[in-house]
Amino acid sequence: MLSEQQLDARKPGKTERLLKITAALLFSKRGLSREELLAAIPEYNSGGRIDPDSALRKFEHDKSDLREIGIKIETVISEEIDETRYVIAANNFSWPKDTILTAHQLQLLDLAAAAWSQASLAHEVDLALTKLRALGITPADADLIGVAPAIRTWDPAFTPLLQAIDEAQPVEFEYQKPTAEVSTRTVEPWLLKNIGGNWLLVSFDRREGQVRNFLLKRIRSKIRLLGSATKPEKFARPTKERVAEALADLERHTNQQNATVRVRKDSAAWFAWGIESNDDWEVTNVSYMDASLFSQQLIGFLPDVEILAPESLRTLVNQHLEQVYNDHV
Amino acid sequence: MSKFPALDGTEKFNFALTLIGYLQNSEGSSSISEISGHFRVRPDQVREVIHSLNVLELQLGTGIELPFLIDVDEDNPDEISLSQNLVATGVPRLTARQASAIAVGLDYLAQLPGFGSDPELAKLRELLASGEVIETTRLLDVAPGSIEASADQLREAMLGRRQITCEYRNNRGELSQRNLQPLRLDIRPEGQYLRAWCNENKDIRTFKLDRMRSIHVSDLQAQYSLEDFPRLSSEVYISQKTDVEVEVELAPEAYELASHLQELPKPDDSGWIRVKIRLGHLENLPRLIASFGGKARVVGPDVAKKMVRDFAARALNKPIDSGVISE
Repeated sequence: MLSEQQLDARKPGKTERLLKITAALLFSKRGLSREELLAAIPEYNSGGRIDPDSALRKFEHDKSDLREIGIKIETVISEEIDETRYVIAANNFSWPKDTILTAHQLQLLDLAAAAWSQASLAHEVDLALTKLRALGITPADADLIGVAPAIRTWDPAFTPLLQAIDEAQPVEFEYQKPTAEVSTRTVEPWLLKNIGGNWLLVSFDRREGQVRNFLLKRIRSKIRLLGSATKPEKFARPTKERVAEALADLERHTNQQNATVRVRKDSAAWFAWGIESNDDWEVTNVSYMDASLFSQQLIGFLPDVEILAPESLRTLVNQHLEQVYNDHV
Repeated sequence: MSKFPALDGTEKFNFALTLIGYLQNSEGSSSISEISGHFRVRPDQVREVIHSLNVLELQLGTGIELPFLIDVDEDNPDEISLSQNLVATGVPRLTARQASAIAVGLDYLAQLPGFGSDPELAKLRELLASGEVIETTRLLDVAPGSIEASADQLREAMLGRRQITCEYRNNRGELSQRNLQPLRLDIRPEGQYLRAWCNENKDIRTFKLDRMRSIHVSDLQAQYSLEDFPRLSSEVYISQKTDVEVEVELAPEAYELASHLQELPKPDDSGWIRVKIRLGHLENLPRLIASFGGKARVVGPDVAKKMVRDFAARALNKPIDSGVISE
């Protein structure tokens, strides 16, 4: 899906105006002052008259469009001479020198990009691929490997959360834990992680004062950005170490949650968990991240699995089944 | 007609800047047909972008500058060369989101058999992870999951154009011996699938890797490969004429059941949507619906509703009502 800004960028003439802004700022190594910029882009002036306020609003709009595409315009304010300059830092703009990709690498990138072809990032990944192609050699036109990776994003919260992570903006949303009422969460979003097809938001929960993970499919509202449109609130990005620590915690948590189940030979569960035995039933241990999601997986395996432990998991499965029964009376 | 889709405004802008960087790197001339093929952009749009770049004027101070000039050869209008570039900045970088998405795709590939040891893939991952390409931490991540060991054998069979035999348990619990010609592996975080020509059914079928076992790559040459089926759909489920249609209501947790739809209907105030889904066999329905633990429910037909109720009743050791259902 395209944002309004992206749709706006489709208007004729906009491509040319964005090119002009980018070229003008890159051309003038020191950047442009506000006056120079407005003079350089005549499209900002209606009917030959310069209305600085309206022109600047248009520029701010273009600036945010450009940032979406990957071009960051920085504002440098010099208080001594009371001047605002706009700059695109050259090292912010291009690749490390001598970056050359082989035909095989371009093919790998094609495949990596194809993984997103049915997800909400498809358009952006296409833009990235165009840039990457400029660094490489045309690959032979063949599907050399017969492998098609695919990542799906059907949660409506995915795109707004990714944007909030990118902009380091705290967000608020309604969240429903499987066993609790809907509650409002205020978090600093860090990372979106896909685990077994489920998207998980790794974030810092401001009220809890701790790292908290949220399943996107349990978000019950639109994602609300904190602060106003003109003055968005920002949070300090976590360090790589803090994110790595949060992910390690998640893995530890998953490894600690274990169920003991009895499985019937040659059932779907027997295949899925790769059990090898000559017995008609086999007892095995399975670890899981989320009790509710796991109980749903177990229901899909009924009646060929029997939950021996923990008791809480068995109760959860029965609760789910009662709900299903009552829904279909 | 060209095989490439048209560019929208954003894509045109992105391509224009990229083209300048590309021509700058290739130091000299290039051809429109080559650029069209390489970037997968229609030749008329390549020309359009060149025109936009050539007419671009910058009013700076008192003078007017033409930042870019791409010459088109008069004798051979396919030949072009970059004769002026006052900006000289190279190919634009990726945004954090773009780099994250591509990096996740590469990580994903690296987990696949035969890719993990590819030195060029390792170099690419290094490049995308380096601080020079992306200054912030990663925004996205996909868990390794457990790629089935059989994927290795299947890929080997595909590369060697061999048939395979295996044991397969379908979703009705029936075990059978299969003779297959593997075409493509579909790898998703939620599961891995083999698309293959099934010799018994004389048709393309989808097999879930975690339901296959005792796979043997046979000596028999495969008659079919992916090139024979250029339109092989990426959907896992291919609908059949014999499919049954069931109307269901889904909470957001169960939206994936509606993933076959281009666009979801508008949800009600509590997020539920009502859609029709298709299934190969009605007996698969109860397990499917029940596995969403109350986040999916059948609206009709009544026979389907009763099947779900009976499935839950049996699992809960409740008596099963024998009410007659009119169809």
